[in-house]
Amino acid sequence: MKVLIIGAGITGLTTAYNLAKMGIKDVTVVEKGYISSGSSTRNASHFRVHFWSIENSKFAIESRKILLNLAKKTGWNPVFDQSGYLWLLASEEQLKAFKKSNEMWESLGVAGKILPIEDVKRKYPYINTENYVAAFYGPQDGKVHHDHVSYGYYKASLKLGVRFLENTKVEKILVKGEKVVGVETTKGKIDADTIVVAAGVWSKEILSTCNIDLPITPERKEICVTEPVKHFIGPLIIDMKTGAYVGQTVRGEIIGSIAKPEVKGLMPQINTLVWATTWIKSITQVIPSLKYFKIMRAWSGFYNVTPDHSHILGRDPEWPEGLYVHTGYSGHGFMMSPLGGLLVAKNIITGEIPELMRPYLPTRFKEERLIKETMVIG
Amino acid sequence: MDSFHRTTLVSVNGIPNVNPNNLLCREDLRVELLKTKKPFLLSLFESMLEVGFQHKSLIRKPFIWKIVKNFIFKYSNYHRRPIENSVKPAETEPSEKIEADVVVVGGGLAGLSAAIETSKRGLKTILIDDQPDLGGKARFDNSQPLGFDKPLSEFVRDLINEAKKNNVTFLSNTVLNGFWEDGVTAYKIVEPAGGKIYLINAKMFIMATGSIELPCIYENNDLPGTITASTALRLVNEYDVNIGENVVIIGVTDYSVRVASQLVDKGTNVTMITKYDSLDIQAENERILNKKGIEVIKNVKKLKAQGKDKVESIVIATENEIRTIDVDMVIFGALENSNFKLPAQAGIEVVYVNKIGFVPIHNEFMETKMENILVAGGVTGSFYEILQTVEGRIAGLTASIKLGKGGAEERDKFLKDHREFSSKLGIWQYKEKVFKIFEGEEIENEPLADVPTWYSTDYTGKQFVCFCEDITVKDLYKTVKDINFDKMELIKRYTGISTGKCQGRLCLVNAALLASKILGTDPNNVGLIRQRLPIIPIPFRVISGVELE
Repeated sequence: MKVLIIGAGITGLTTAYNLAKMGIKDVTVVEKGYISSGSSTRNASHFRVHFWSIENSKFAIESRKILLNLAKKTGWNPVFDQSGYLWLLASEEQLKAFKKSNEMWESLGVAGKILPIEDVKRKYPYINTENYVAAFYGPQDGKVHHDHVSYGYYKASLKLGVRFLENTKVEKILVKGEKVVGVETTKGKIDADTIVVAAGVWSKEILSTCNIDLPITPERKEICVTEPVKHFIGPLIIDMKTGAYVGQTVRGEIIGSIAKPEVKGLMPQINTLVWATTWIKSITQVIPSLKYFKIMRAWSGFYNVTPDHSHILGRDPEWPEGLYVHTGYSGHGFMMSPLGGLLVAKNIITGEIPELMRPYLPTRFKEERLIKETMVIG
Repeated sequence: MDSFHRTTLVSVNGIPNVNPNNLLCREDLRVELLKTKKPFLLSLFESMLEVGFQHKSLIRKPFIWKIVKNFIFKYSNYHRRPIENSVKPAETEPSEKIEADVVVVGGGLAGLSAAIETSKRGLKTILIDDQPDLGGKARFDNSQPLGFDKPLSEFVRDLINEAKKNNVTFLSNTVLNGFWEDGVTAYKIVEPAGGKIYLINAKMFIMATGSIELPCIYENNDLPGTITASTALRLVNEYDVNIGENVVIIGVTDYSVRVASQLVDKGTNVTMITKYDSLDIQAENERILNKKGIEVIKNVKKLKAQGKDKVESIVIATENEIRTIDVDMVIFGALENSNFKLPAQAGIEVVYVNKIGFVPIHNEFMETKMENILVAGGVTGSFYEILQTVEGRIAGLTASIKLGKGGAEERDKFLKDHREFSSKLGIWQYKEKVFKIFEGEEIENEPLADVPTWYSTDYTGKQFVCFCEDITVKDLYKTVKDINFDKMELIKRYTGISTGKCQGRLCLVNAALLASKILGTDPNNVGLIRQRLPIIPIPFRVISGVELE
């Protein structure tokens, strides 16, 4: 088997690592920039297990287990910090929805806690609670260092014999008869009998070269950090009134964003004043003392959004033989792709579809079996 | 001093991360410094806490990592969070919209010269500078370098008067802090955590942001009592501060010799050191060295600073001998580099050219690849005052021509001057290389021969490259050689270099040069790091006051 993976972000890296680990000798990863230069180095690097849909919750629970023990596999400490997520609920309806979902999460063994507003006041004295009725705390959730996750997978893959071609852009997927036979790149043709498109928001463009349309919309997300201070914000705090979120990195910087303005398409990865003012106005309502912090560094990256805010794994039987995808995480690539990479690799090698992967096949869009997921932050 | 050099931040009235350089003294300021002493417990583990320590097999075990992490959180040397209602911030003002034909960033020789040319031709010109006063480094420099018929401080005073006569609007203590997708902002700094935002609408921007004097790298270069050459000059000439009896200046350049000469005039004993065996300076400056009896130690292979809480002596090793000199102050004077942060953030590509350094790509007319952005002075890699003055004129005239106010004939004269002075100073061929790259010529691939700021021969000891994140030459070497990260973007990911409080100003160029040296490659292959918004941190409460339509 001669495998070619398009994209060396977290999705490509997890796929490459797992394929090589399972004994595939000939794995090449083609990357248009440098390792992880797309969206993988641009995220807020948090993870959670609580999703509206049972499929995503199950998936995230298993993926979290891999993250937790990743250092053993890759030799790179992902700087795991189980600091939790705190959802500040702004209405009775939200509270009701979280209470209902918590029953489902409880059945999966990851129950969270509904905190009455007095408890929020006591536990998090820096939060201005006047806009909220209660909070939901997810103790299983937390943060990792995204670079250490990516480069850990990269270095471990190299050790297993995976080849990486950086600064090489795939221009066309080559199909002969009913089979993929390789790709045309800016640096020449590469033969392969198995191709995995793991190119994040750029996957759509690449697949269109063999007339496949994947429902992926890039959404530009902006984010920033402040200068560091001593740790005081434990969990990632989500303001359910505005959708703004804020947390503190392991390095002590305050990090956060808000999903405004909504910008679709492959826009330049820069920042807007309207975003900065919107986020800062919202978040200083939540934690008033943040007023005295300074924005030190802002950047932007893409969410790779699908119609049901859930990832796309594996292949459609109608596609040319040997073509797979691992993409569409809609902002959850870091927390979910450690499992996604494992499942896609299994699928490629055995031809069987693992149980956890079944809901995420690309065929679900035409079969109208969408996952009910709207719990997306930022 | 230089408000860009923000390696030491203080907490003021309960507000963390305040740059003391922007703080005006007044009563009722409660200033707290960060701890300078390490807790005893931490010092025991210090040798284990190098860059990447968290990946060591013992520490990466989940339960041990948990303990280590809590330990790090507890002892992290950061300010405490502010407590709402108990802090006393400075005033903020609502944002203000300003319109101009030309905005000039930087009020030194280049910026003033540019602003005079544009304002003289009827273009509404705003001059922005992060300092309280105009004039840049020339303001407190009483020497008379090549091309000038009076001391720089007098020359620049005349420029300031001329600019004022031409109705150039001056925004002091203000930083043009970024090109956002939906607007350009400047931030007027009033510490702690106050000030205002200007929303700028201009047809043309002239970036005359000057240069950065790079720190020298040797063992214990983080000891207090170490400053840049221009800071030394400012202390003695502008603030009348006695910087001590004995100082050592590292690096012999035309500028550092002129600084040395002025320090000697104030009664300071100056010793200059260089790693080279000959001096690459103008004859006039060699004459000054002889006349003032300034000792120059050549062929220095290695330096080491010594002292308890501040630098007390410096050990200088040449091939033949090792000397220890008692010093009150050590001064960095080996290398300047373009302060390219603003043009790079705006989207202008930066390249490395020998003798020029990392510079934004531009042509002879001071144009960049962005229609509305021109550059001039130190930011183009011109560290000679006469070139800065001439380039300012050229940029001002280019702006004027582009905006239909003429000036082509005058510009031709300055273009000729530019070429003549650059040739005289021996740098025209290097400047020309930058212009050719602008025209599309390929960058030569030339392994870096020497890092002018590095005074050592090995990669051991506490030679700091990055003072915010405590990254040493050894850490950098390990990242490049053992981890095999060969680009600054990757080196940043492993070490955190350039992500600290100075936003990379002090470390980025030094790190890129050192990495190139370690790899034996051209600095363009190692590259830099994408420069991000904002140019200088802006308090949230000031941004909250921005009203957009």
